[in-house]
Amino acid sequence: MESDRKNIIVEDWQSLVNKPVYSSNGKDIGIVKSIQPEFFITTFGSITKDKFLIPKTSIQSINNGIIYIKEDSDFVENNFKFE
Amino acid sequence: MENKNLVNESSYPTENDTTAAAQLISSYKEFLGKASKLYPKVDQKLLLDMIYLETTYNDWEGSVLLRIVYSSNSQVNTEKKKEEIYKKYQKMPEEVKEGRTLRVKLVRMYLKNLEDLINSDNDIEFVSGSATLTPTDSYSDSA
Repeated sequence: MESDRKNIIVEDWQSLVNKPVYSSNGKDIGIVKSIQPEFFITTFGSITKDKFLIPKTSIQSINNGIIYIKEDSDFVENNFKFE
Repeated sequence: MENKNLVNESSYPTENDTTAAAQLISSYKEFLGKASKLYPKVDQKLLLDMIYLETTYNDWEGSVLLRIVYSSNSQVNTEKKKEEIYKKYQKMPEEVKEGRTLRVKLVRMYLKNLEDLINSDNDIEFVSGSATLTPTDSYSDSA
């Protein structure tokens, strides 16, 4: 369980821009659009975009350019969506 | 004959010299780093647009469309937040995401005012949006 609480170390946050993000239950959360000091912003959708403000500490892993976060899609929808 | 002062050695390229492009990019990255430290809650594109307009046009009216995102952890009363913003700026925001995000068009919102807005309310988690040269009635933007 302890490994769930560990935060991943990212050397170059800017390199995550345009990378896809997936929730812990495998749902597509969108693409990273920008990086803030404590959060990163993802957008999902082509016309009316949903926007999510995701804490950097939520990243579970990054594999082959895909970012996986610790939370499931329901949690993401209820807590990270801001537009 | 002493001639060491005849040549200014600092004007000669050394192994450590970098190109103008590399120096500029390095300075720009340093600037962005400083911007995100000073305005950690502001979207960088909005911040850069405001800096550009504020420093380029002396008569810029500070026309912005702001999306104010409140913390999802605190139970924010957005109706109260709307009233607070209306009291301060005489503009009534609209709710974009229930209990989380307000959107409002403002004028005379310069960098200092944005700083004051954020510092005045700890519930604000993030501010994004767009800045335009002239005020517009449109609510659509790419921010």
